[in-house]
Amino acid sequence: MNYYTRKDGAVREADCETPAWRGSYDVIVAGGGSGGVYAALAAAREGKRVLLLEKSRWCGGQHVQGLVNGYYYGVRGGLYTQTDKQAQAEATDIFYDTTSDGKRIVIAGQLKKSGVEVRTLFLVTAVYTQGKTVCGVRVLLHRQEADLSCKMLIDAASDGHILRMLPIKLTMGRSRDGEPQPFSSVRSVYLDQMKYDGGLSVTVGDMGSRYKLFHEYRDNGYICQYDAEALTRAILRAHASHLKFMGEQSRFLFLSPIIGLREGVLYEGEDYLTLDDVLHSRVRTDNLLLWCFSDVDKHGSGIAFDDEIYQNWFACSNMSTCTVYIPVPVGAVVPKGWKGLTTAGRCISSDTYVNSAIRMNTDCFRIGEAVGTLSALATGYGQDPMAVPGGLLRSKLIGYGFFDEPHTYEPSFWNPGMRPEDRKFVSWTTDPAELRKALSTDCPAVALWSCYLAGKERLGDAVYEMSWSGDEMLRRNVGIALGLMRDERALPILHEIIRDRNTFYYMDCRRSNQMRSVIAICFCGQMRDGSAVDELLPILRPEEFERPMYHELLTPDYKRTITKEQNSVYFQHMSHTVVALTKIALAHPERRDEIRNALYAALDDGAYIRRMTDTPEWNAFYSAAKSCQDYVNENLG
Amino acid sequence: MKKRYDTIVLGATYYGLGYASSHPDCLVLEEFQTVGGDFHHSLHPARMDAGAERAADTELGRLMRQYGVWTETGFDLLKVSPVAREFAARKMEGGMGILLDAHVISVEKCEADVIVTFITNEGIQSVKGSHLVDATVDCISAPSAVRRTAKSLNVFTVCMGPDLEAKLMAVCPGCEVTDGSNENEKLIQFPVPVDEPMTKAYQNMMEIWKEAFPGHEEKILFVADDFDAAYERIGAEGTDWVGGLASNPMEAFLKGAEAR
Repeated sequence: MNYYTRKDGAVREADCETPAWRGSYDVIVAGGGSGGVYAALAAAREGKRVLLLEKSRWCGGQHVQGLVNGYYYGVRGGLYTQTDKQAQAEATDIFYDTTSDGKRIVIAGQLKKSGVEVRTLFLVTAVYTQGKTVCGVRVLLHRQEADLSCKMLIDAASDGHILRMLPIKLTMGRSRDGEPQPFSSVRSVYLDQMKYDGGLSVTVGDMGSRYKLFHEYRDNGYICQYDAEALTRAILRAHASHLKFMGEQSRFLFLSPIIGLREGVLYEGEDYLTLDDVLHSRVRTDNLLLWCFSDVDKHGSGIAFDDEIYQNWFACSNMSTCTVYIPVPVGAVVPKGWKGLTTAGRCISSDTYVNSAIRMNTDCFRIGEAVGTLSALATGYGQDPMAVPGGLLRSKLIGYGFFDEPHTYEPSFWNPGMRPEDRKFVSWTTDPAELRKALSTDCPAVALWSCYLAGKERLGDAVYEMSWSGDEMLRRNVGIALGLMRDERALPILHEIIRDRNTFYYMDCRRSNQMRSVIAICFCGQMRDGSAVDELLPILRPEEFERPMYHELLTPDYKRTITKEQNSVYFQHMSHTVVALTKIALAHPERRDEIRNALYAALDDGAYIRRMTDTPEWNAFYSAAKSCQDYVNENLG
Repeated sequence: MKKRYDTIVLGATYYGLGYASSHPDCLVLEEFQTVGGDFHHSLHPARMDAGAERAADTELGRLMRQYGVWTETGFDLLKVSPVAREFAARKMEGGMGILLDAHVISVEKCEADVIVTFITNEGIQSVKGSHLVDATVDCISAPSAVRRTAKSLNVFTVCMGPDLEAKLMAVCPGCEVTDGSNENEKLIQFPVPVDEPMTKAYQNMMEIWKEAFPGHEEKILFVADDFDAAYERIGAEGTDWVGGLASNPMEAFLKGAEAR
């Protein structure tokens, strides 16, 4: 038998005898959060003996203790709806906030009733295996350790607590630098409705006729939660940052006892989901676990430093709030080559972009439920989840009403809170007349992405022809479309957009619409356009910041305002210029020194950061700004 | 983080923070992602007394005055929690060792040293110290050395009508109701048998509330995360435990700061 733990910064393995098991279970679920609770309930529903381990005092996770109460997209249907109904029935008359105080007691009752053995204030400290088949865990129990056997172990700890003890290939964040999404902290407040003038995040409910209860979220910065000191520092600063808002119109109640981490390690599973595969419909669906549904909700403003597929979807095509269905195959919750082990919640086998889409509350509940069912079935198939017949899993879930919500799988633009029938479905087109019509408007997103999917060979000529129409909107959007198709006929139009600093905002999305000038800069970089250098270099100079466009509110937009925290107009222009010039320098050695010198001259004294943001060094905006210098250092030395 | 400190402090309670802020070379290990849990997890009511005034001149005391959580009229138990975090953040920047989300696996004596093994998101680590201070409410270094003597489940609300206390007392005579810092705020302590588990206590509390307010005219704003419990020492073990709850965070902080 093998014994694995993580000690002094590394995975440690040792051979060992079979321990004296203190207990034996069919399924152990490590982590009682959004995924773990429903994994445990689902496994128990299959008649298995289930143990749920949770390190805090209560099960429920971010949705309950974390005060992230709302349902932002996600597919509907499953066990969690029973929790909601019961909380509504039992807790509404007692608590103002049924989703936190109400749900945690309902969840505790559901777990007890279903026969799940729950141990709070418990942690897994080591894993036992026979080769690459998990067979047990060591747990921290009243400050003593005990060994428990299991046929299936579900890592539902969202931060890959179990995975990190095993020799499993792990990654984190975006490919360039490992940066995950920023984390948040939440405070609960109430206020007198007579004094409220708007601006708080999430309304929880009315307190009589006079007061209202709110949860207020703040994005705080980037953190590697696997560095204990850094995590501690981040938590303390994030919580203390709420002091700025005390004494204002709201009455502070408490801070969420758990920090809002949006992303942890990602791993190599039997299947690995990438945004590229999802957007090109290349994900296998023959062994499907479930569908997830959301926009690609990656927080953070440093799009310039992201992978090009994400840039093309989110920014260059202005598809940021377009929702998509994401097929999650069984293999995406099974670490590659392992048996007796699955993952539930937001920790699946995917890239950071898919992860930012599947991490929503209802999808995490449903991943948990599906994985719990899968793991329970796997106990009868040699502890191998990949051996469970897909039809068997599917028929079980269908029988439980898991797939009851009807879906049409086309992407769509849809505001949360709107009626499903008001969703604006989109379908891609290659018809030149339809493309022309859309590209002549301030909502060209669908046309742009259609061009991207079709490619230069199919549509390049037809789209290029449209640029001669005399319609300036059409011409400039043609430049963007040709850029997406990597058609060099885009370049003169893109240069013109940059030269004019054409900050025209598209209007497809309910938030995060993009400026055309920034998109043009991004494409010059993606296309390694040496002829753009002379257009881009002036943007680096300090006097660029004197342009009125960096000081006027161009279009009110949820994420594109000019505030003390971030001058987002300047940040996007500057950061994309830095990245574009760096890419061009790498592709054009004859101009490398010239570009490198200009970049260092612009960045070395750090003054550019203060033009972008007024925040302290640990803040997400500061980190994003500093990425400019880091990017140049990494690539140009 | 170093491998050795002069003192390992278990629990970022107010006592623990006070001790670490005035004794050199300490590492504070806290199980949860909060500081000051002795008051904030349990909603243990803070009763200010004359002794607390001595804390006004401490760094934490000055911060509390600065943010208006400690005034002539009293102490705002809710607003003090982010102030405590600000204090801890500053001390950490100044060199105090603090680790949150750190779960103790074992405490062992080895000759003159104590070795504490714990687990965080980083994995398992051990740290040595010349001294151990157990500042936790329930003596995690020697649980069998203490006994719980009293327990309550506390809730906080804003009352909508004038009769909240009377209606609750009519159903649960053992309840204690304390005024909060703001208009109509109430902190309510529901007594609980010392061995009763949380889920049962929670459900009993809900039943009392339903019976007291059948017309739903009053509701709860939030419930404490943990019991408000008092402990006493019963064994010879656990000599590193500092013992008991204080009347208010500043008293606890001062006791820690002035401890030898």
